[in-house]
Amino acid sequence: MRRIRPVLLPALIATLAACGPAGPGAGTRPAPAAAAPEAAPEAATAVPGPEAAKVAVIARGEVDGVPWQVDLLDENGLLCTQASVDRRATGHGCDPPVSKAVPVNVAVDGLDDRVLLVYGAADPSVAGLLAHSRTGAPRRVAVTATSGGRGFFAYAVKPGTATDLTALDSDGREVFSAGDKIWQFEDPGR
Amino acid sequence: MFRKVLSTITIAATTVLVAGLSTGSAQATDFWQAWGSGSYHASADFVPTGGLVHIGGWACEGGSAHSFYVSLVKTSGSQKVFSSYSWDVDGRDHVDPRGIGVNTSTAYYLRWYGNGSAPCSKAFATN
Repeated sequence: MRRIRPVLLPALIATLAACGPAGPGAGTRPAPAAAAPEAAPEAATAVPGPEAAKVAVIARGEVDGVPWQVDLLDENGLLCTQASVDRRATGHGCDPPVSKAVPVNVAVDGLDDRVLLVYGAADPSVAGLLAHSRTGAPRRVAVTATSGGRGFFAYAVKPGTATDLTALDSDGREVFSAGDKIWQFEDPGR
Repeated sequence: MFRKVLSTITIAATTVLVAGLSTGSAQATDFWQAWGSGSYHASADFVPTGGLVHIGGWACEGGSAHSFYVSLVKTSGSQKVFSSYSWDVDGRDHVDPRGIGVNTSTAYYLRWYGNGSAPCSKAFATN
C-alpha cells in the first residue's frame, strides 16, 4: 500500500496522537518536504475493474462541451456509482443509505473543475427531484436506474451555479433538501 | 483559512478533553484524524502519493447527529473537490471503496460534517 504524506501537521496534534492508537488525534506519517509542483490527475480510467459489473448508465451529458457520465455498478453485491468526466474516472461511492426519513443521499463531485456532478440514490417514496441553480428555473432530475430498492439519479452543472436539490413526495410536498451539503460545497468561504 | 486554523485549535483543545475515547477503527489507513464533540471539523493537510484516494469516516452515537459525510478539500484556496455520500452515525467505519481521482504532490485536507453534533468522530484517507 502506498503511503500518504502529511504536511503542515500541527505539533500539538502530533503530540496528542502520540497518546496512543486508541485516542483521538491525527494518525500520520513523518512530515514531508514542501509540496512539489502541481501534477496532472492520475485517475486514468473510468472502466470498472473485473469485480464490477455495469448495471446501468444513470445519466450522461455535456457541460460546455465537456462530456460526463455516471454509471451504476454492481461490485460484489454492492451497488456503487462511478462518475467520469471527459472519460476520466472521478468520484466513486457505494451503497448510499436511503429511507423514508432521509429519502435522498447525494454525493457532490467537483474532482474535474470544469463540471460539478451531483448524483445519488432516492427512496421509492420520492416522486420527483428538482435541481436548483443560480442560472434558471428548477429543472426536473430523472431517476433513471432502479435497483436494490432505490432509484439512482445524476446531473451536472457548471461549477459555482448549483444551489439545491429538493425531493417531492407524491403530493408535491418537499420532503428533502440537499441545500446545506451543496452550499457547503459551492460556497468558497466554508 | 482562518476558519480552518480556528477549527484545528478547537480540535486540539477538544481532543485533550476527550483523550482516551476509542476511535473504533480497525481499518488500516494512511492518514486519519479524530475529534471530540462537534458537528464540523477540519483535518491537517496531507499529500496523496497515488492517483486514487479512498476517503471515509466514522462517528460515535450519543449526540444529535444521525448522519455525516466527509469532504476532500484542496488546501490551496480551500477548494472542495468531493463530498461523499452521507453515512449513518453508527460507530462503524464508512468508506468510498474504489477511490477518487486526485493529484499527487498536491496538499489536501478532510472535512467532517455532521447533521448535528457527534460526541466523537474521525475522517481518513488511504491509497
